[in-house]
Amino acid sequence: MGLILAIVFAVGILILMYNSLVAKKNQVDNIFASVDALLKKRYNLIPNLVSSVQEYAKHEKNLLEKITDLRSRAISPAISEAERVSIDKEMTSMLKSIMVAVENYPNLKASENFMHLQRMLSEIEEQISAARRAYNQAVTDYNNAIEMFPTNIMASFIHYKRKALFSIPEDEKINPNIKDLFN
Amino acid sequence: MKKLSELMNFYYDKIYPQIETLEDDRKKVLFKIKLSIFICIFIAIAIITTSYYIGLLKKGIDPIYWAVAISLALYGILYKLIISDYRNDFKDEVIQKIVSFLEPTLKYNKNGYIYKEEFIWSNLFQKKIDRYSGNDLVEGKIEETNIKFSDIKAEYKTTSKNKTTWHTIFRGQFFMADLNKEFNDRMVVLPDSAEKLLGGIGRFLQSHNPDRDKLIKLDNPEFEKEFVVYANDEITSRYILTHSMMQRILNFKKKSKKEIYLSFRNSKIFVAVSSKDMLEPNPFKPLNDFNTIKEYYESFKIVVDIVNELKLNRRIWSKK
Repeated sequence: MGLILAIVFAVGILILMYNSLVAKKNQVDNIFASVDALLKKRYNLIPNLVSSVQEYAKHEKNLLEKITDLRSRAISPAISEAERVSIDKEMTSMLKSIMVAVENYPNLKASENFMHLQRMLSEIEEQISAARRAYNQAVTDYNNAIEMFPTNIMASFIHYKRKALFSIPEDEKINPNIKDLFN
Repeated sequence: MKKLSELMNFYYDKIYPQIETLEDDRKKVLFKIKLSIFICIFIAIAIITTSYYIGLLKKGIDPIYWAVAISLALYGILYKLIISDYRNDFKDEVIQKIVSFLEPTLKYNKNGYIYKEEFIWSNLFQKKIDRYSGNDLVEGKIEETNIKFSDIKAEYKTTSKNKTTWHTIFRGQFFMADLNKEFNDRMVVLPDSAEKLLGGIGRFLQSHNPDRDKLIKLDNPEFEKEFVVYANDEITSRYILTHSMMQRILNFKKKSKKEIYLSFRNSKIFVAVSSKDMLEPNPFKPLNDFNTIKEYYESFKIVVDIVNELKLNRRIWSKK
């Protein structure tokens, strides 16, 4: 009788461990999907941004071409997760330089259309930043479970591997987006 | 909001004559209060001595308990009766004027308070409310932000053996305002008592709290130590609680030195600061002394400052 109870107990523990690992992995995937959706939302704003900046700031052609190119790379379906992360990083810094360049064009800054875009962009930036932080937390929970005893044994059985964190730029930790550039 | 020095000028230049009249009233009220304290003590002693004489003690009735209970209850009733007129005048003459001087866009209503439905909607306190009251409603617009706050007292009751006991759920200032970000989710930020007391076990219990949404772990250790956060969405909660927002909430808590509760729901923010009633007259303090007025200024400022501390006026997102 005692033996049966012990077996039932041990199996129960194994099931719990397995389920918690799967739940953590799914949480990571879920949040990555949200990050991805937000990044897409940002890519969709770029043609608008380019056309409204073009109108006023003819000298920034170079910058605009670069960002258009970046966008077309980002939305092509055949890129890996790692590539997507690096494009995202480049995109963030590119947007920052556009916002700095815009400072030289008071007419552009004052235009209704552009102001609206700025608001949309800063909102999305902040959402992306929030999603990255949520993702990192989920990955940390997952990685902890994979490395800590006793779930690490189960994890190695089902071949779960460590996942990488999003790097959050230092300046973003202080001021989590580009908003201060135009305040 | 106007500065303390400006309030001081206003106090001496504009409202000092009324203050003098009120100060006379206060002295009369104070005399009556002292008299009623004396009467209550006398009644208490009378109850104790007579009960010894007629031997109630032997029947298992504790005369001291009853004497204290009866005289305290009597004092409570007398105090309310004595102070009622003075309280009204004080609020009309002093508080009303100070509020509209400090922040002309705000309206003061001494009898109004935040609706019970709004209090419940904030989701901060989940216990069923049996008695709800409040006063000192202030509402209006500070720059872009609609705000409203009042004193609130929410209680629940327990009954055992025909005896009803009232317990406080929340007592203090309840503040609500529009938030500058658009969202349809909900999140509460509560003082973290379990984790402080029990550490890891506390956190485990918090993450299995059936009455709340998901426990959200945040990337600011100091914030994590002070607060526990429950929300229905991982991303929205971090969208609202950015690094700078967490820091601002921590600063606000340090400055106010009070227990604070925050809730964010459908683009609204609710802040509950537990403390005593905010804008009540104190008959034991002289009214013609500016230091008394200064205390009202400070407690009022703590609440109005939520708008600045949390930068609710910052409109850089798509919500206008």
